[in-house]
Amino acid sequence: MLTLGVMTAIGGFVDIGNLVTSGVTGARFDVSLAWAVALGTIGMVVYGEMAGRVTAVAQRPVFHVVRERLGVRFGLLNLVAACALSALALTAEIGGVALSLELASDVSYLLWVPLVALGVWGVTWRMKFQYMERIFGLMGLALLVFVVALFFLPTDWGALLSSATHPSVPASESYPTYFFYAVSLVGACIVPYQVVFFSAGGLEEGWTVDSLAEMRLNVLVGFPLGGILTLAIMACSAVVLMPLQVNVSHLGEVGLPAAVAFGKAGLAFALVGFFAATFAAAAETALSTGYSMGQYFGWSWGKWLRPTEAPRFHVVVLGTLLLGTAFVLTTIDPIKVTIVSVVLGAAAIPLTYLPILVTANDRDYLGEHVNGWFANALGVLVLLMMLVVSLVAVPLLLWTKAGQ
Amino acid sequence: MIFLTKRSSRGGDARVRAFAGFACTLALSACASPATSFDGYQGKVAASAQAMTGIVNTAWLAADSWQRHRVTSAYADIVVTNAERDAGSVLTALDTRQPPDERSIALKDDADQPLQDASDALTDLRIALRRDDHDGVSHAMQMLKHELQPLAAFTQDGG
Amino acid sequence: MMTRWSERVADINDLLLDRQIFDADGHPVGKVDDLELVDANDGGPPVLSAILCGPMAFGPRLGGALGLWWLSVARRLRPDADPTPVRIPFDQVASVDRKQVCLSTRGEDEGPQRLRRWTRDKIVSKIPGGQS
Repeated sequence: MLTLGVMTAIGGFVDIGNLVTSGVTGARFDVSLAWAVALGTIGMVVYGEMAGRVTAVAQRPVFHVVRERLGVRFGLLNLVAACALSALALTAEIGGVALSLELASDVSYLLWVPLVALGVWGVTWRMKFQYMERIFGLMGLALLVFVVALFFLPTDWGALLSSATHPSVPASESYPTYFFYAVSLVGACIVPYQVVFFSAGGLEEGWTVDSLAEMRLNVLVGFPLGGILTLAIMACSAVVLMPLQVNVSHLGEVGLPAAVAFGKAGLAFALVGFFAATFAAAAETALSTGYSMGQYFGWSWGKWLRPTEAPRFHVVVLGTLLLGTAFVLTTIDPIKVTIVSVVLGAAAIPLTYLPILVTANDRDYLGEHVNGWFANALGVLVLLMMLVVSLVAVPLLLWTKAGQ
Repeated sequence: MIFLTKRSSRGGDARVRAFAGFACTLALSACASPATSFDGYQGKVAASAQAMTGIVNTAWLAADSWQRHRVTSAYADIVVTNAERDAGSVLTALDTRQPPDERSIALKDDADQPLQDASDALTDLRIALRRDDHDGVSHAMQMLKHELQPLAAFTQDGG
Repeated sequence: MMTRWSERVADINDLLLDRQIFDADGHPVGKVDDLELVDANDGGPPVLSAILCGPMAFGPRLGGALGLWWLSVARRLRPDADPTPVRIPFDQVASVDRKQVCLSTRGEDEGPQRLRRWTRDKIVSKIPGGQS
């Protein structure tokens, strides 16, 4: 059963953040920022596996662990940060769904927003978790069109490879901008709500100690699949849009390479993929606020419970959705919200990762399944890397005026 | 009866700090750096020409794909409409900068023409596209291609 | 049976605070937000008498201005005038370990579940599809 992994890949990993940042960076920096996607994917695999293990063995998803390990006040700060970031991400995702529908229908995205919000709420309110996973995971695979397109576009594989393996800052760009976009790519790959969703989703699926192999398979297939899709969109952008000096600032431009390669059919695949990824991500971000609040305060939570059995959880999810929808309707540019949200997300990552790392080493929780030296070495490396990213994220955001 | 509660008076300070940080963020992101020298202004003009080149190319690619039935009318319309709006923003952004000296004013006068022409061609393209007018789209695409050359001159000057 | 708390030098931070509470059916009840200690009759060290949970216990636990603010909001939103937090007497606790606190009682709408009951009756069951 790989559906949670695929759902987490589509929607968790590949969401509006990845679509935008990979499209933008491909057109501006060739694939010289591929290393940032690789780093983000490795970090996600390492911590996804740890959080999944803590969930499966000790039945304790992320925000249980956060409160137990960081205490009530620091945990609350963490909760507020996570929920604020999820709400910001939700705003971007709702905007992304509406923009995909706008591209398909020629009807202004603002008119789609209320319908999208209603649809997302319907999914979080009534749809079974397993159906949600399957429908959006499957639809999201349409994004593979960007991988296939690379073989039909005039791709210079040698040049792509050398750009990816010999990263350098293009002459027309400055170092701060380059590193700003590196941070945004890492942040897009490692958004905080992903581990929250993945670990809570594990409980929704009823994971136990016996599910460890299934969990690892999900981690090892899902997140790298998301990483490959992100790289493919970046490479398509580099092949088609960079020679034209396009400065990607809309979702429409990200889809153009698929149309150049395969015409309307390619476009249809791209749009279905955009829709599935952003819609799933909208549902995941909304659910994640409910999950984190429920876990922090010890409520009953989860989609496997009927709304009357987990009323506070569902009220939080609904409230977040209303907030995000209202924010999109202010006509704020969803693409700009996306960039800001992935960079702030990158800054907040260590808050979530530290307690996971600590708990993954606790024998009372994990018994024989505690971290081995390899997981700890990788975990510490990733955490150090994320600390650096988190320290430079906000200064870079201000310095480069969000990458202009 | 005793409640085990740690008291702390530092919560208020933390919130004040957080608010100050937020206010600084707003203030910093709100102010745009003014050009105080000719070189600075020339850089702004070059950046505008560069941005306009990308916008023109985007619209051209979408229109070309539409002519060859490789994108839907809806898609082409959205991409071109966004390009037209972006072009307007580029013009407004440059107009709101105060040229610091005589040379800058002359440079602005020179640059205005191709930027404005490109923006107009985008409007023509959008209108033709919405009317399903293939000839009109071809014409507007030619105009767009035509503007690339003068725009390139300004990006090189500034670079 | 559990340890006699009066006889144990317990690191409460490690053992109890912020642990998840489950009822006898395994349903989540809340978190150990605070603890109630009473002075022993014989003048010895204080004895743990109850677990406190819910918004009214969470505010004082937070402390500082934020805790006061939380408490005042919680007080205004309360259905009745009773200002004390939800108490779970320690004799209702069946077991304690580092991961969780399990109660020997069950009871859906008892004290700790007031907020839950309120959101269910006032919000969730009024939304279409919320009742079934």
